[in-house]
Amino acid sequence: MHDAELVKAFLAAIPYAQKLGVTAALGDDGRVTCTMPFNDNHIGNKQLPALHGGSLASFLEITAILELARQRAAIQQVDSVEAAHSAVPLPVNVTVQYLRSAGALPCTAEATVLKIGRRTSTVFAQVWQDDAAKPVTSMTGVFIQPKA
Amino acid sequence: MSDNELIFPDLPGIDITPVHQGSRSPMGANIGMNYLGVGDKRICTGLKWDAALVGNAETGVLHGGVVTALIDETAGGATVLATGHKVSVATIDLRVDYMRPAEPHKNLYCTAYIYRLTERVAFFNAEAFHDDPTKPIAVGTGTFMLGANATVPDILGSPFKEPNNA
Repeated sequence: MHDAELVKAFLAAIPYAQKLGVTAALGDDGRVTCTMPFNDNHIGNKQLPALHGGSLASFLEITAILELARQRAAIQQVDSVEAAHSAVPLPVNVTVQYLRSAGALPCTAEATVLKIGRRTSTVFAQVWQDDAAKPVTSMTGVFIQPKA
Repeated sequence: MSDNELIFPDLPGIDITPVHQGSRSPMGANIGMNYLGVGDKRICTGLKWDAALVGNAETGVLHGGVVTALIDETAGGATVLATGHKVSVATIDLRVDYMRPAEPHKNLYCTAYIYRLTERVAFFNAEAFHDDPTKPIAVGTGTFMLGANATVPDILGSPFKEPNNA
């Protein structure tokens, strides 16, 4: 499978990503770029308004999982939708930093896999809105592969 | 009453009064979070298992992001409570450790406690669990900024409503 098909298969395996409206595409460098449209349901503070920390953390975790799954798929030879469903990485822990208030705008996120290990992998991800140089939230997560 | 009705969990050794109130934040409502109990600088919440909140269609287990969102919302509620509903709050950072795999088709509960409150920052710890609070699915820790903006906190209704079936 091509990376684009793979990422599509992994995204389809995550119902919560569909609920949040997350879409994924491959950037010029081949890495996953995710988008999450603005939705009233993602708000935490109605008066500002500002997106909820939980929607941003969820979006980052999905982005990190997709990029890690894409990179691991080459190693594991994930070659079908069924195989993709069985290879969605599992989080061990995530650390999230809220850098700026996120307004009523669409979000874009990218992830960098810092290390793919035999047992665990570490991924850094960040999300921005209108200015890629001003991330609103960042996350570092440790993930393991599901048991075969 | 459906099989997955939310119940007030048994929390031995913790002084907490049952309440019954839906989330006031859109994202809290989006994931189906309800306030179930209120104590001293402590909140208990829960959400029903829902197919749309699942992280892997093959396993039926809730997504880690749902757990993180529940912990964030619960800890935010505890922060507002601890500050006497006076100031707005915003998450500074949080860490969530997934202690054991979540089980499919099970409701998720969360308790959050503010263990240190300063003029500008609240420090929390939180635990998310299914049936047994001594076997958490995830534990979270983090900080909230107090008076982050000029808005009035609307995370909790004040005063809390008594449980409907009390």
